[in-house]
Amino acid sequence: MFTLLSEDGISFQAERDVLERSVLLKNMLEDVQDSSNSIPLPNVASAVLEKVLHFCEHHRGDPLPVPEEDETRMRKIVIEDWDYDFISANCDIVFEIIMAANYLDIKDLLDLGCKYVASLIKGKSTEQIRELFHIVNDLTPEEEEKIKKENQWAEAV
Amino acid sequence: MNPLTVTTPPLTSDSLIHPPKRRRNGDDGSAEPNGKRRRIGGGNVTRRKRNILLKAAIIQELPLELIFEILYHLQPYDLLRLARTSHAFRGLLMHKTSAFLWRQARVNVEPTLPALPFDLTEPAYAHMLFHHYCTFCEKRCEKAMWECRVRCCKKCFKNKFIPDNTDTRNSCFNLLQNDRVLSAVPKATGDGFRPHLYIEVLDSLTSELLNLTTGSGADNGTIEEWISYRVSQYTTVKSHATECASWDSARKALLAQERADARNRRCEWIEERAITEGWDCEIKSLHSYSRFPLVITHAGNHPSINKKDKNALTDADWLRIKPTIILRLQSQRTELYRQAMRRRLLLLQDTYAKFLVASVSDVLNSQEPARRLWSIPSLGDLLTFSGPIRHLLESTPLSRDPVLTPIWGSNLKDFSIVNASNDTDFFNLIQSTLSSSEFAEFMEEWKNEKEKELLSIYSRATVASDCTGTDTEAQLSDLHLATTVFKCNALGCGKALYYDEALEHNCTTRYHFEQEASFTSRPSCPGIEPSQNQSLLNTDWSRSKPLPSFVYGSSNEGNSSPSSIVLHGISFDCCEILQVKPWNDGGNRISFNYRGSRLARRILERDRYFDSCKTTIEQIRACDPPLSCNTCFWSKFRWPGIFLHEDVKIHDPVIDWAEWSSSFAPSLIPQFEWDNSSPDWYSSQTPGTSTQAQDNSFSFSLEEWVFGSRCRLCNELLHPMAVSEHLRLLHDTRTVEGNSYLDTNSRLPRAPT
Repeated sequence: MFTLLSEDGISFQAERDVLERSVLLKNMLEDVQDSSNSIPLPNVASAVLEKVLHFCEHHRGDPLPVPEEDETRMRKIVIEDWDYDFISANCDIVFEIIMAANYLDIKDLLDLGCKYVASLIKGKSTEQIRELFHIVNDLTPEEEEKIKKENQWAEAV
Repeated sequence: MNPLTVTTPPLTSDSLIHPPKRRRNGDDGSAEPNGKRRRIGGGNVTRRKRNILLKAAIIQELPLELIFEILYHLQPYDLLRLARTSHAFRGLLMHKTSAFLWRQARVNVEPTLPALPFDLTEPAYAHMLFHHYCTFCEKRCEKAMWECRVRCCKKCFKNKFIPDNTDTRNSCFNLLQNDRVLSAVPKATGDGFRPHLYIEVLDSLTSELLNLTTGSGADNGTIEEWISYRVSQYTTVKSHATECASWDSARKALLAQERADARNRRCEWIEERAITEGWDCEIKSLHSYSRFPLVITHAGNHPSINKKDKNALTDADWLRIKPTIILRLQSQRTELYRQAMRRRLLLLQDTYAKFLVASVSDVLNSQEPARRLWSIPSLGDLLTFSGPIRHLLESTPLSRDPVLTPIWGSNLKDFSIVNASNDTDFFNLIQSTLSSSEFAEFMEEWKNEKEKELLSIYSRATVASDCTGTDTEAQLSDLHLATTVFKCNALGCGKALYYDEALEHNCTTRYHFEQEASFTSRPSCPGIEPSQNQSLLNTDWSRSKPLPSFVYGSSNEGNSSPSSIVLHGISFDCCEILQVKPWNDGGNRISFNYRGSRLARRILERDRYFDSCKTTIEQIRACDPPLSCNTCFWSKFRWPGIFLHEDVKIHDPVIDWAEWSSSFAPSLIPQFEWDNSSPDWYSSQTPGTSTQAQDNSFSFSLEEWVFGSRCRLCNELLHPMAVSEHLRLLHDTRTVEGNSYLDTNSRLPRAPT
């Protein structure tokens, strides 16, 4: 068992195969053979770390995602049931989870967070997107009308 | 300068998202104007909750690469709408350096999009493909003019397009001295097939060509080169437009398929939910040409369901659509119970008919004509009279399982569609009930009950008219008097009946053609004043009164019918199903026959051998005296024929002893000792009874059930309505007398073929 220390000083214990879902932690564990020392994670809050470890615990033993060679592949938003329940239950900290996944280099968790946020945007109208993400509409009505007709690159306009 | 280029700020994380100021409760911007909550996206989290949760989000702190990672999963139209939210997102997404995001977005579209055309930018291409609004007036519009790169409504089409006809070409030629430029103008069709030219491009090309022709150094070669270049461009656009049209069709088909799949999933969910709540039989019985019954399909399209949500329905959805479904399934459940009850009653009808045939056969085989078989309850009485059959119907649970099995009898016509698991058991139960001693007791009880009812009719009539001339209370033996005559009030019948005939008369159990309630003020009906009865008694009814009116159906409609049985909370009118009523249901089918009674008494009073106050119909039948009419001098007739001579003002029938054979002696008139326990005259075979009386002994066949009557002269089976015609044509007999034919018209259930 290894101990992780969150930014707010709370420690979490996890087994090696759970922690190895994170590429960052996997590399760190290769260097730190002794499990008596805790691993500090200054960028991850305890609430987020708890969820991340929960995710890793569930997916322990799953094959690690292979980096895609074809970057221009079709990206469908397909989320497994458990993953959907997990991320939607933690939608209040979804951006923290994304950032933690990015920091800890947990690709499947990062994918899950991005897909979830994308699914929230998908199919929404402009006004709904503004409302969803609290984007302040700094366009004047005249500009909005013009934008609807102007669909050229900004530098070409 | 375009204001957009000026006001677009540089992209920073802070400028992307501005956390809103804290608002008071109830002033949340997330609330719908109408106060309803609506789900967004695919989750079960309401928008209000999600907004509250995302309020504290740190999306503004997301690195740009993570924002891109999110945007990688979107489609071009999502990017376009996101780019229209604020200056910051517009600056991010509408910059040419973000073209990679648009390329990825195009890849995410199914079916695969045609490549980006040379004449459009990524955002413009997305706008043309996905923004289903008129380019000119922003009204909803599905029709795309792919060559022209616009969508145009009908109204704008008139202003933005001109027909490609000779006038247009002549005008163009007059202006440019060249109409080849028209070959480079994109075209579209409106409602019809006639091509129209896009005015905006036509004007642009025309002005360009005019500039070329009027400019210095322009020669014909340059102009031709320019025109060829434009035409080749148009050819490329046209080719791409064809691809776009194909893609659009494929996308519509795909969306339709997705919608159908989603609807099927919803329907499956609803069906499963209804089945778990115990409506399996009802759903199974609701056949449909589509995959699901109509009630499920309608529920799947219920307006309260969010059809854009591709996830399964929730309990809240079920609660919203449940009342509609349950209402329909409840009526289907009632219908299933009705069908089961109908099958059960038809089984009972067949079984009862077979039981009676078997009983009759036993009597015939045993050569015991001593028992009257006619005085048995009809099917309507079995169902309504409290007895073993009624108890059987009420106590045996009904099955609503719609799986039916045909059971074939001895021949192909004899089959019943039954529920194999349930109705067969019921069939056996009926058989055992019919052969039980309780049923025999029930038949006797029924007969006694009906005789009391006849006595009641007789009693009321005699009290009203005082036709007996005595103050004594009516006895059961009075029913047997030759002067106790009843009458059938059914439409087209009016037959005079003695008590035993009244019990077995067919009209008394017919379901249809009941006398209308307004006609119940006839003197025969109960509740009428005796004085009025007396006056009516002496009235000539032959022509002065209007014909009685009759209603088709039951007189108990709208009221709680005695033939109703309540099972599983559902009311069944058994008699409506079997088209048969209990004997004299409603009480106005049989009435006392005042005229017949008076006539019989008059004849007997004028005869020296009979006592009008004591002679029974059994005695009359036994000696079967000949009669003749002093007025019309018709041929001799027998006792039932007197009722054709009811009108005493015209006819004067008398017993004509002179016509009797020499072997007859009035002393041979049987003198019966009245015995309540054995009222049947057939059981009293007095020695020396005339041959005519012997002929009246019981005989019938199954065919007589069908035809109802048999001619005594030629033994031909006849329908009752055809008797008169038959006698007149074949036997030259002008009077229809009771002994001319054997009336086997009974109210027994229909005989099996």
